[in-house]
Amino acid sequence: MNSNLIWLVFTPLIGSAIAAILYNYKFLDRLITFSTFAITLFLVFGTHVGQTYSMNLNFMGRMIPLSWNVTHLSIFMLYISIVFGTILTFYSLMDRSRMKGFLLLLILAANNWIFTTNDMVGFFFAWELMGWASIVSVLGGRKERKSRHAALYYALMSIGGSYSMFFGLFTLWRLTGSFSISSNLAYLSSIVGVHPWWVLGIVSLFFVTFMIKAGIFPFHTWVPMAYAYAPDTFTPFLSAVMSKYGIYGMLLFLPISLMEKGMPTVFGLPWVNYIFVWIGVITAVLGTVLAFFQDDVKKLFAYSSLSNLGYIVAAISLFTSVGVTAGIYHAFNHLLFKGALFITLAAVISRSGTSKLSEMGGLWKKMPVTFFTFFIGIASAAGIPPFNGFGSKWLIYQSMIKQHLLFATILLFLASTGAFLYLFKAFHSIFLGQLSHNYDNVKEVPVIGQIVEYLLMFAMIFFGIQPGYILRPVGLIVKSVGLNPLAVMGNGYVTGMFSNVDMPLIGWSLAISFVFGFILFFISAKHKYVSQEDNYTAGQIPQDWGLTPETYQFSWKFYEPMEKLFAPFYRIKIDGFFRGLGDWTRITGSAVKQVFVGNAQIYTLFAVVGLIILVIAGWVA
Amino acid sequence: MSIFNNAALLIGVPLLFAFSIPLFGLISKQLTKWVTLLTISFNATFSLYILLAHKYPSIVVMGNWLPPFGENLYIGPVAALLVSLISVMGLLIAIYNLWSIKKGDVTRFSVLFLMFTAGASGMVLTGDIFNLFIFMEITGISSFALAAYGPEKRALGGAFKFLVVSSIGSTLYLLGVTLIYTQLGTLNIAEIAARINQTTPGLLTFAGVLIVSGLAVEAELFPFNGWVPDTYTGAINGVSAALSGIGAVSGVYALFRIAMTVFGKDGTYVSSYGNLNFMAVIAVLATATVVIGELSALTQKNVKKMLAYSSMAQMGLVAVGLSIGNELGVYGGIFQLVNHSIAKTMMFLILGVLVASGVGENIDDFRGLWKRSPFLSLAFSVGAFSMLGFPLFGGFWSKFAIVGASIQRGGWYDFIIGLVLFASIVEAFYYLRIVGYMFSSDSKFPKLKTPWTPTIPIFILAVSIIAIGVFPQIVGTFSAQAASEFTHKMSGYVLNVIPTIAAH
Amino acid sequence: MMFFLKLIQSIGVGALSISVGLLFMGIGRKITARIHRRYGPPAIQNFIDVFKLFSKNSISHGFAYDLGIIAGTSALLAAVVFLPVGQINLFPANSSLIMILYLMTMAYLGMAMGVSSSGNPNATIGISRALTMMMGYKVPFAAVIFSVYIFARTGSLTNIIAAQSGGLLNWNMIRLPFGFIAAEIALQGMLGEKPFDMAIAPAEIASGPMVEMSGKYLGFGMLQHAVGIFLETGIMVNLFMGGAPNVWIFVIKQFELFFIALLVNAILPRFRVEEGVSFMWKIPLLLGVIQALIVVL
Repeated sequence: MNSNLIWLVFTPLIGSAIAAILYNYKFLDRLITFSTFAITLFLVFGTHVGQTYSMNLNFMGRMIPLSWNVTHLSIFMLYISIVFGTILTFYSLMDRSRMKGFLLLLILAANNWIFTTNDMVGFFFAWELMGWASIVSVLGGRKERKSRHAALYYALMSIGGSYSMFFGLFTLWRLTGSFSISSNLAYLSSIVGVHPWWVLGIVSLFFVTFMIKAGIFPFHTWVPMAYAYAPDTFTPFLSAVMSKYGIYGMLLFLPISLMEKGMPTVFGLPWVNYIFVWIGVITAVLGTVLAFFQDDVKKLFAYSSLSNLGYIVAAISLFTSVGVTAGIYHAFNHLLFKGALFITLAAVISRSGTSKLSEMGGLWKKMPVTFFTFFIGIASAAGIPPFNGFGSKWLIYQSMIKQHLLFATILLFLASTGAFLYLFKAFHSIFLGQLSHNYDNVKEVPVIGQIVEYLLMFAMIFFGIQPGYILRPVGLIVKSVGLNPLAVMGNGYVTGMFSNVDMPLIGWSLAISFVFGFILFFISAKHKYVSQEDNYTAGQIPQDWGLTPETYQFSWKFYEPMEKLFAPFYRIKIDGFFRGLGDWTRITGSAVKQVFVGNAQIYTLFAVVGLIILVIAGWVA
Repeated sequence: MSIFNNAALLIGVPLLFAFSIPLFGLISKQLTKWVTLLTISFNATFSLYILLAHKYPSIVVMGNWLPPFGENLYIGPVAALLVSLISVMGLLIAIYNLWSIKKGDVTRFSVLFLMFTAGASGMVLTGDIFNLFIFMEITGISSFALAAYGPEKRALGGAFKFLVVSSIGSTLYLLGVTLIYTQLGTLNIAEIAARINQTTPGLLTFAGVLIVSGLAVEAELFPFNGWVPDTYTGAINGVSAALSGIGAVSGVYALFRIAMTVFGKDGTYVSSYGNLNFMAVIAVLATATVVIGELSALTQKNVKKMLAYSSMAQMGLVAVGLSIGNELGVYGGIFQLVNHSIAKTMMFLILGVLVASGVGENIDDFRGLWKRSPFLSLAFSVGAFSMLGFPLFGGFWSKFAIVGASIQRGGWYDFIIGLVLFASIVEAFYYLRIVGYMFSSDSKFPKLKTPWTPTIPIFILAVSIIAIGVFPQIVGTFSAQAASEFTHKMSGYVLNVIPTIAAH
Repeated sequence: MMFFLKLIQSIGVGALSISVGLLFMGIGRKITARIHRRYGPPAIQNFIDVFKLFSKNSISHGFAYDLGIIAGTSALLAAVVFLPVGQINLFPANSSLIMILYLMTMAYLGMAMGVSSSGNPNATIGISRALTMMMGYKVPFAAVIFSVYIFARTGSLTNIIAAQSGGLLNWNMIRLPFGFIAAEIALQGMLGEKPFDMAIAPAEIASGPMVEMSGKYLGFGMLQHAVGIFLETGIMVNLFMGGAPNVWIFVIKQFELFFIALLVNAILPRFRVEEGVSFMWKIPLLLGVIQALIVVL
């Protein structure tokens, strides 16, 4: 009995109540949010694998056991989510966006509950809690109308997802009479050989929920809207932490596929897993392709998140040692670099007041720390060694190749190359090129923001060069789901199947060659700095034809050739399906509303007709 | 048990004061509101005492004639819970009325309101199907009059529709009761329940159809609920709150008392005697109500009308839960009834305060409300979230239980609950749209001054929603007992009333 | 001690790559000139150019500009030490091809950052074209390298070389002919030679990325190009031509590949960007996919 587990849930709830009361004093709200995160982090320090706790909830006319169970996976997720949350809330102390601290704390409570619970009642409760708190959090972005639409869209998807899980969990309950996740999973594993289709049906009910939350194709449509129009400081949490809930859920259910015998296999994979690999790949490619052409920077990175989540899903669906290692490792890496990127975006947007790529440019001179954080962030996201994104991408390729999933691998590689394209587009349009005169007075973020940025830079380099600190706990998780963990040779190594990568060596190699580069740079002839207007313009004077920095900045239609190439694919609108469903419902609603005509005679007629039908039914019966 | 013969006071005192209020009205019109308040607070205290001190099950015998020969009241878990709910809601609405009812015929309003509460309490308490009819009429007639109260013309239209449809309902019900009386020669619920299988099945079916149709009017089930939107929209907000928080409660109670106790046949899932399974009939009607109600509310721009449709749909959800017919389903249904009553009452009261402060009823008027009145918009959101079944709010647990029970039952209930959940997504859309409007910042208007009198009930209701959300056992304990009463007709009801009767 | 030995050797490989690359560029100019019936500059002209450039004063657009351009060369030099060059294989346990490819990306990122921060749209347009083209050639190239991975059951260049030992017939060039052709075409794009030189199209966008470069910056650019040629042809040699027993043969094999690229470059006009990409996604990708199917099935 370890009651600290329940405090992991209650502390944020209490903090949330206090923060909600003090909501009007914005700084206090944020301060309480930050301190609650910090306290929760301390509570996590006292949490260890194997701790359990249970209590009975008097509900549904009986005692429903609520139980908590800390696994390797849960402790890993707890650490990464809460540490990131602490950093984010620290950043938010100085921030001006309308993120609501008490809602973030509710999400934290749900977060801790989801990751530690071992019963489906708690899981569902926490899941829904997280759902509505995030829905309301999305409200209040800079663009009111759009953020309201985004929140509604997200709400409908999210609630639809919860209802799918509703069906799943109660079907399991009907079958086993228990809400315990572990015993239900054991039950599913035990019958999967006998009734594979049943298990598939039940698990897919859960998977729909998880796919919606993680934003996996074809349920990805809410992601760009919600990410883009959420408050700027909430988006990092949405992208970095909340998308991982879906991954966590999938990881809970995937071990069943080990037992899946008698199902047809493709390339040595159960066909369901094979389909999921492809869903992941499609998500990855789709996210990349759509990210090329976004002008809203948060939307661009939302699609980037989509793409990375696709990677993760593809990897974990393989359910091999390398695949799961790579997937969880990439989940961590994505959390780190995408969190960092969204935080820098929040900084940039709060300073420049716009999220349009075509309106920014040249900001590196004004915000150097943010610029470097962003630089390292995109280097990580592009998978450049020795930053932190490389190891996991490399392992993902290996895991796919090992299963001979060649086409999937090629497409993932395409997505990764494409990632470099859109990352550079964002990088250029925000930080490089011509600085508009509108931003002459833009300052670097306040000290708190800079501290956070330095911290994130350090983390991205540190976990890049020392992947062992992540790969060891990931190895424990892999072991706990019943697979052989990858050998970890040392803190600096990413051990693959075909070869190893010695990250510190790459780091040294880069560092030394940079030293030589700088030596060469400084011993050679002098250079002088010139202004941004001082460009090669084929002998003409730009000012003569009224060129301003804004018009001289190349950021519109950055990849126009690509746009032409991909034009046929834009006609396929997944979004259209959901919107069509919505429209159809609305039209039906308008039609149904006509039933209530507001005329007493008609209502009487209804009643009489209803009665007659009932009488006839009784007669016939 | 004997002192609880005084439980008749729950009906008697309000009726007595209702008829004596004109006397108080001679002194001061404002005094009548206080008399109403005090009377209902007596009811609330007394019923809560019964509920919390667990003074049930008990029967109250009129004139020392033991049932089945005499008229009796039966306070079982269901009645205790629901009469408490009705009285507490009545009390809170009465507090609100202190502030809201200023103009017009205050005295008459007070009379009607007391009669309404007394009637609703009577419907819940009575152990006699004819008395049920009488109380239904008291409730009904007072509610037509209440619904017509107020300066607005639309109130009259709404009340008239209610009057017409409701009269048809009462007539059908009375016909059904008559048929049963001709068969069994008794009006006592317990005795009819015990001997129901002695009737001719065909006649029983016909009587059942009549009764179910009649009661479906009050329980707001489609297609007998045509009156709902207009009446709710037309009435002043306090009355709308009372209709959804009190009237609907007694309506649903009556429907299921008949369907489950009188016609019911115990089993894993309660079904009914007769050729037609009335539980299934109600399930179908209820599902239709949910779907139609939610879809109609979807495109509604008028918040009050939206709440009216939502009310209808929520009553459908309650009925779906109860119609499942196992303990879990009934548990969920009763729980949902309580949650809905609390939340919808609160939302109508909030709307009343807003309208009185000059905010319109349209959804556009809710824009930026968060800035103008944080308390009211927060409370409104709490109510909306409870409706949607979001965790930390009461509605979560009841929806959880209803869905759980449906899926546990399986079969065609999977489809029913699928439709209900689809409708819930629709519901989520229109409620969250309002919430979204409230939290947007573009308000050109000044802050609202919220009067403190109506904030008391709103505050209490909002807090209780969260309290139930965090500690579901507050309601859960009682609704579990209620579920046991509803699903075990003999041991839960009949034998408590007439210990000597033999099951047939 | 070990560290310093490796350091010295690495510097040696770096110097070798720069020299070989510059020499190739010089020879390339000569050969192209001869094909065009010109006389052409001497083969060591590029060495002279680099020394000249580093001794000239230049203009810069700020710190990001400096850093980016240094990063362009340095990151490629950091990658080249992991390449097995003939008998020189400094880090045999650490020669994963994908790692080298991703490390090369760092150079592109640096270069792109540097030239874009100059604020000249021509440079950015050039980068945008280069990246688009990269999207084009990386896909067939990925198809080929993953085929090789599956074929050789390894992802390390060292092991891929080892798997090809034992004569010409064991070379992947012979065993995976479609893949080789696809990779050759991809190499053309990688080297930025015609018909895939839209990134630096001098007549359209004033040499694209190079538009703002002067003095030592252009010198760095040339060094980067030199190392790039060495690295890219080196990867091809290791992948398809079984590596080499010593450095000289390695360079000769590299030159063969480069020579083919030069000939193509000399006689073909330039594609438009989208044409280039769609060409890459048609013929080379088709070949790569055929090869992949052969390998997998």
